[in-house]
Amino acid sequence: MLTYTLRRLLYMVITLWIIVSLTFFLMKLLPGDPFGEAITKLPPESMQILIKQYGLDRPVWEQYLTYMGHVLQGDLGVSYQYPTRSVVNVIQTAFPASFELGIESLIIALIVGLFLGIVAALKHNKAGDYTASIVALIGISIPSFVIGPLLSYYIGVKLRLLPAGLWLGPEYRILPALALSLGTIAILTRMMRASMLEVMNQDFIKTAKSKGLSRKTIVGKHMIRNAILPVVTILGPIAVNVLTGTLVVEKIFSVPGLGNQFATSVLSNDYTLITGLTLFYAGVLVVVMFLTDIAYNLIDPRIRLGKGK
Amino acid sequence: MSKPILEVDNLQVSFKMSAGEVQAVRGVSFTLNKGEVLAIVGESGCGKSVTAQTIMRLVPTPPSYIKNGSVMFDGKHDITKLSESDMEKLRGQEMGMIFQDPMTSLNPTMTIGEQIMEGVRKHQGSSKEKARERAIELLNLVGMSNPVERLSQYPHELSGGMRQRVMIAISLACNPKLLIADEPTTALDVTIQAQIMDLLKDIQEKTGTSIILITHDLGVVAEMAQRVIVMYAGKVIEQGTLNEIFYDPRHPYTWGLLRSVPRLDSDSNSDLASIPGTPPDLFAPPKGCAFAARCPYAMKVCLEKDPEHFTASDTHSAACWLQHPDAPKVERPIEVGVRSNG
Amino acid sequence: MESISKEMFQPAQKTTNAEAIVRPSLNYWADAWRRLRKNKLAMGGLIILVILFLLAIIGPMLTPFSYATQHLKETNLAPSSKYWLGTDDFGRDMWARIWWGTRISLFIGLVAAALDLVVGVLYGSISAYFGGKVDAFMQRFIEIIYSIPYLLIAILLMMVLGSGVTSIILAYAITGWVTMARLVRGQMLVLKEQEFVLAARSLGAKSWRIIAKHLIPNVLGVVVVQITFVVPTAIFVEAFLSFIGLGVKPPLASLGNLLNDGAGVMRYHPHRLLFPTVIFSLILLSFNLLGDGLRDALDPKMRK
Repeated sequence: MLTYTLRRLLYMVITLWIIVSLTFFLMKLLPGDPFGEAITKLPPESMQILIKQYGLDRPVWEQYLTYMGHVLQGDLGVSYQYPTRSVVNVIQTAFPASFELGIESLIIALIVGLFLGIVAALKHNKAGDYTASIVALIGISIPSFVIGPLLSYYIGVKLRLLPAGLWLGPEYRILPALALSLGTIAILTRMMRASMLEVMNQDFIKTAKSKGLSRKTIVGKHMIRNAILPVVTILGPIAVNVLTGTLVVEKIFSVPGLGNQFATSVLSNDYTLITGLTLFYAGVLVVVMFLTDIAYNLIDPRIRLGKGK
Repeated sequence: MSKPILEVDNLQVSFKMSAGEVQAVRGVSFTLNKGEVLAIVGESGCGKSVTAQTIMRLVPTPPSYIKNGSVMFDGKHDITKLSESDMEKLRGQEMGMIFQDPMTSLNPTMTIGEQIMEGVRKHQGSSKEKARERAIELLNLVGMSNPVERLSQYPHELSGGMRQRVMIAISLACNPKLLIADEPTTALDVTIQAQIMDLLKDIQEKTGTSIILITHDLGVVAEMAQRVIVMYAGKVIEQGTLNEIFYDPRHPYTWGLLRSVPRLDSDSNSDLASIPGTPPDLFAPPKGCAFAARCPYAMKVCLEKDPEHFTASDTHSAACWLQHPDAPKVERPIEVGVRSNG
Repeated sequence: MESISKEMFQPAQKTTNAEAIVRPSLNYWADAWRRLRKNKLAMGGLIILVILFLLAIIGPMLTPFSYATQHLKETNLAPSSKYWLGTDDFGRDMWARIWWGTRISLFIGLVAAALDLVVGVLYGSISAYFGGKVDAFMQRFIEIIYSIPYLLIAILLMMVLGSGVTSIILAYAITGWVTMARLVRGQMLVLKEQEFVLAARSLGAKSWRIIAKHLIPNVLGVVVVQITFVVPTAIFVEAFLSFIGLGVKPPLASLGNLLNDGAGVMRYHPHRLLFPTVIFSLILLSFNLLGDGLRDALDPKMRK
């Protein structure tokens, strides 16, 4: 288990390093003017000063090393777009909204998805199963950037039940979190249903039944407990899904989060902000993947105790 | 002899599938007396496991359903009519079951201790400490070393034989009156098989519980059963005491089964006999005797009519037209009748 | 006991052969097709896909308007007999744009799937075939690629390569092949060790025959199923990138940028969001239904 954790930790570091390097070099290849059209009208001397200030005149490898050094110290540079703000500062202001949206969606998705999956499996081939399967199919076929505008328009604008955008009070959270969680609900429902159906056919369920345990105990202690294990393995990718989903959902609902920042920095070719945000996202995602992986290995005794598999 | 612990009468169990109905058990009747060990033998798919699991109502419904017949347990409960919550009280408490594959029959994410104590706590309402004591006692009974340490171990930490011992401990947790062992040694190594059989025999002697032993291994039968039922295609085709089945078998299928057992005293160069063909499709069982298509002695009547049971003694009967007074006398293959391990 | 005539106890003429196999044996694909046909949802998905493919090809020809021609006096019209699905804010015909968009989205999906197929199957087979150190190294590489969030890489690539169909396909393909490679490798590794391969080998079958007759057909099922999930994923990626402004650039239409434009004006012209949404969701839904059905039909464990 320890060697496994260390190995995974090493992979995580390598992955992060590759992402940092990839981001840096891709950005160097990027066409376009980092200072935007307005600033190109500046006199050449001012341009020179700016280029020097940002280190754009030095060799690429030197820029790369400096950049790596800064990243290691948690310094992601200064935004070209807002020369007075550091990238870290931008992240600090915008991240809380994204984080909250992500966590809320994840919690909704986990509760609803697991519940639907369990119901579908227990009511296999009955109405409950079909309902859950339909919800799952809709969730998979209609991504957040499609359901988002629909929710915003019909519930927010037409019916005026909930705010169609912005991020002020608790009621402003509902629609974006719903739009963001639908796809994840679908994935979790399908996964949990399949996993439950598999566990239900296992011999040890018959053993549990032969002990005279009640249906409730069998479902709770034997089925769900085992069926949830494979679902934990996809929690990492699921969290990734939700977090990247915030990129579009924030735009739809005008949530002042990182996703919105990302969209504006893409439009204005703000190199450092894009790289900084990508790195930040990638970092969060890779760490989440790592943690869920370790968590899974702690939960499953077959792996925790080093045998099996 | 006292009242039987189990009376199965004309039990019929079918599975409803999309392609039609599979008649897995087609009218099985037998009785099991207190303290008796009854073996049910037959090929895979003959309905022996379904019969056994129906006694505990463990076959998932749907797709299965009990079409007909009754199963009287302990002279007072008709299992085919009990509610699910009444069944829960019987399972584990009055009857226990040992399954074929100890690798998959234990919950991989629960400790051995939890799995044994679960039933004890449910049926006897005992405290955690009491249940724990009982679990240690049970692990001792099934011959496990270091029972206290075992309690906190997970199934994957044990060998196959050990796991089967745990299974036996689980099934014995509440001193059931009836123990059903569904091929308890099939998935184990040969040396372990003998140990498990010895253990079962030992436990039967100590506790006096009635046992239904389901197997296709006649060696296992000879070792501990007092009576034997031979099943084929969802029906009982012959039943009798151990001696009657081994020394005076009447049904050609039983002959075939006995001939297919490897023997120490036979010529090592002789081939092991097998029964040619495969069992009939239970979607559409044949009109006459189900074994007729594979039977070297098949007569016209066998294809037309299903034979009833012809009695050979109070305890011995066979469902074969050869037993009819008008049937030609057939020489039984000579190898039959000598038990390999006496 | 009822009497039975003595005649009945004559030896029977065996009419049935006990060794005969009851059901006719079907080959793998015929059997799969038989089961797929029974699956109403999957067949529904297949039919919808065929219709959508046909409309993507002939749809734009059914109207006199081109997807790019602007009619600046007739902007944002609701559906009418002239413009069947209305017009956008440059007065371009939505019917033509939607089917053009469908065409481009499907094209992206199919080409991405083809790239995925080639790279993934090759990588997976090589890794499984050589085994040992080669396999270990190739697996480490996959593990790292796999843990890179592909949408973020796609975003970065799009910025470097510039918007366009080719960039989208590349951006997807660069990380998309990993799942396919893993699947193929896993399947190959299991198959390599199985008895029937050993049996074929011991019967003197040559390596190429084992691969062609035993390995490929058994991997093919998994690959086909995976393809039905790759196509919608690639279409999704296109739409995602278009939605954040990095996809196909107008006047060219794709379902992604139609969705993006529609979302912007939905308050005033809901039809501009509704139609692309329906087509887009139908494509994803149909591929998923078909994929599920294929998985059930091709899974040998499900064979009855």
